[in-house]
Amino acid sequence: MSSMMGESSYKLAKEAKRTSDMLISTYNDDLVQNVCREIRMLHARAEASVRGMRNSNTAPPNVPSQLTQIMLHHLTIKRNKRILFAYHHQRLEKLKELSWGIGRQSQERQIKEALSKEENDFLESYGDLVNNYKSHFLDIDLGGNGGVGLDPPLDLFIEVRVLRDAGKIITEYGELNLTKGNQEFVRRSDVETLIKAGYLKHIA
Amino acid sequence: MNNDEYYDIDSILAEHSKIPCIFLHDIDASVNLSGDGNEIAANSRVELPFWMAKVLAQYRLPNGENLVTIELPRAYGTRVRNSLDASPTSIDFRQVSPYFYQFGTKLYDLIIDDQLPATLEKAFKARLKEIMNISLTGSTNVGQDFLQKLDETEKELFKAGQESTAELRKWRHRRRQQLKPVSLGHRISSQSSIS
Repeated sequence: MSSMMGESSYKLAKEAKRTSDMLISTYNDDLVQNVCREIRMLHARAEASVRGMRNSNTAPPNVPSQLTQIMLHHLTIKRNKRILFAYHHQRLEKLKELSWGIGRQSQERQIKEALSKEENDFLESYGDLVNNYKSHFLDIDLGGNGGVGLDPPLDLFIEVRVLRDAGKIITEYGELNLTKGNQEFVRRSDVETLIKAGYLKHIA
Repeated sequence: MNNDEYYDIDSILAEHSKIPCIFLHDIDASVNLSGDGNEIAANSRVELPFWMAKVLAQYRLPNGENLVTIELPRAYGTRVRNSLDASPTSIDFRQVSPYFYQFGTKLYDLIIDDQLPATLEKAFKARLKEIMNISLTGSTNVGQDFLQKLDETEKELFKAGQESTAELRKWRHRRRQQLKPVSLGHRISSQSSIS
């Protein structure tokens, strides 16, 4: 039983390791459910063993063996629990990083599909918290959602090439006409969001 | 185990490594310790994962006896140590023990072995030199065989070296100032860095 028990959770741990570099990965609902089922089953068995040992009037046949079995069940339960925690913890940390750093407008549907329902709820509530916090500091761009973040810029005007038609952009200092293939010399602050969104390309 | 380690995936995977245990009592077939339904006679050896073995080794039966005794795993035995002394950079840790250093440090509490820390340290230092050499010079062909033999800790260090070389190259070509579009995809996105 020692090699059969704990296998699903080991697979889950390996998957966590495999996806440790990715920001969003699909929630492996099947494996998680398997591990939970295993925990419940082991718990039931351990309880039955303990009850059996307590209730028997005659001396039990092999005390070390029975104790070993109960210990094994218990240890496997603890191991499964630890792996479940670690798996979910890793995913949550990444979701937090997502809310702060990148903002999630561009690929919302993909993100939604990859996460479980609880994780989606978390992402929304946490995103609200972050936005609430940022709303106190609207002058400062804390990053995320297309903003540039706290790094200071080096130059005032930059060269950009237009990748996609964006039409006429009205800025504080005048108009910009962006047609695909053109190269423009523009004020950095105007076009930062567009570069981040992929409409323009910054030429060094 | 300190608090940070509980959630650490590497620590979890390192504890999956097997370690030989000698059971001091008979164990029934129903317990299925070895996984194939056989019973275990007293004083016979079974390989168990570390997360099981550690607790079982520290457990005392109601009559005061120990349940199992632990042996040093093969990966830390005399043969491996001798080859480490002879040539640290030629050992394939992926085959011997992918979490060699992490698992080794976990063994400190369980097995009394004065030589083990010194052995790990020596091997680590010798191999680290080679790793840093390859990762910081950026040559892609040299040292490929050695890179196949790294354990997980060494792999992380190698990645760190590679990243810092890439950053240096970007800085030299003034590419760090480039604004880049945010790409989420399924990888860690490379955000703009305006230095």
